[in-house]
Amino acid sequence: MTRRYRSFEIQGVPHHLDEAPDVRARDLDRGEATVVREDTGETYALRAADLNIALPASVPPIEPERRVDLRCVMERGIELDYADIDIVELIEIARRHALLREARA
Amino acid sequence: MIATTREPLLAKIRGEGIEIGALDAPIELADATVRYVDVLTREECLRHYPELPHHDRVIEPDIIAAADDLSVIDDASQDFILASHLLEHMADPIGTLVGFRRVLKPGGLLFLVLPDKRHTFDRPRERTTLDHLIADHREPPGHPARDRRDFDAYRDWARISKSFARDDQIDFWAEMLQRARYNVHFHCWIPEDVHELFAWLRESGTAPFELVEEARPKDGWEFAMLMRRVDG
Repeated sequence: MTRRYRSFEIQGVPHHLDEAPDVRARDLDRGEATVVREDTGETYALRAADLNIALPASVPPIEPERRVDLRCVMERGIELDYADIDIVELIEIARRHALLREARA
Repeated sequence: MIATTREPLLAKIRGEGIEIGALDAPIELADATVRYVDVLTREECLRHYPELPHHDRVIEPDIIAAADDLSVIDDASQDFILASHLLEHMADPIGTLVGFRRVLKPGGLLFLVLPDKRHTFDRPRERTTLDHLIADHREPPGHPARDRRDFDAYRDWARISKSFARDDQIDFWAEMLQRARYNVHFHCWIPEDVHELFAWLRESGTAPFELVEEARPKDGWEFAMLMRRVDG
């Protein structure tokens, strides 16, 4: 099977997004990005709820339309040929501003 | 007369006032009492900006407020305001200066330090024009033209801070920054631009200030202005 999205490293280990359509749909519902660890074949989900840092009390809450899906950010970063380090930085920006959409209501 | 260091300007500041956005580099004053204003507590600041180089120096704010919303501070209550490397981060600098003037006592002093774009990473960017600033003040966030200008600032930031070669790479980065309302230099100036801004603020009656003294240190990467609130 040809993968749409290239591999990327998480803590020095190559991973790729699980591209099964049902997994992708579930990811979007749950605010997750399911990845496959290539050295072991282990599959696990990165969760927006674990990544988001709570906003300070003085900062207005994020409007729903400003939120982004973790999975979509990763897909778009790969599509745009961002380096792994840039994708990590983008997710870091998103989590620090609590932008990552968590489970859909 | 233009000073070559900021010290002669700071020596004119007395009384009780506020510094906004001091983070890890509060300004030292000899004869004044300073309260610190920031939108984040010290703990929040360290959690959100772990890259700050001097954690031990980050101050605990006395007042939690955004620089562009000082509504928790009474009118005409401050002898001075200190704002170093802050105004360029404000999407609406005119609105911010109107707020500053409101909380200053008549004759109160505003000490501004600003980067000179010719000597910073902003060098490749276009200088922000007075018309741009006026439009940013008149068109609130959500206005299509305003959002477009803000997006352009994020694009500039993406172009400067990253080594992307393609416009689509820059655009997505900028889109994410805009969603985050990321803290960037929305504007960049040279000293003459800021003089033009203050002249307009006074002539239009929007926020009258007069120049007390200016400093342009020899290394040139920043400049300082001491402005006085003018009434009548």
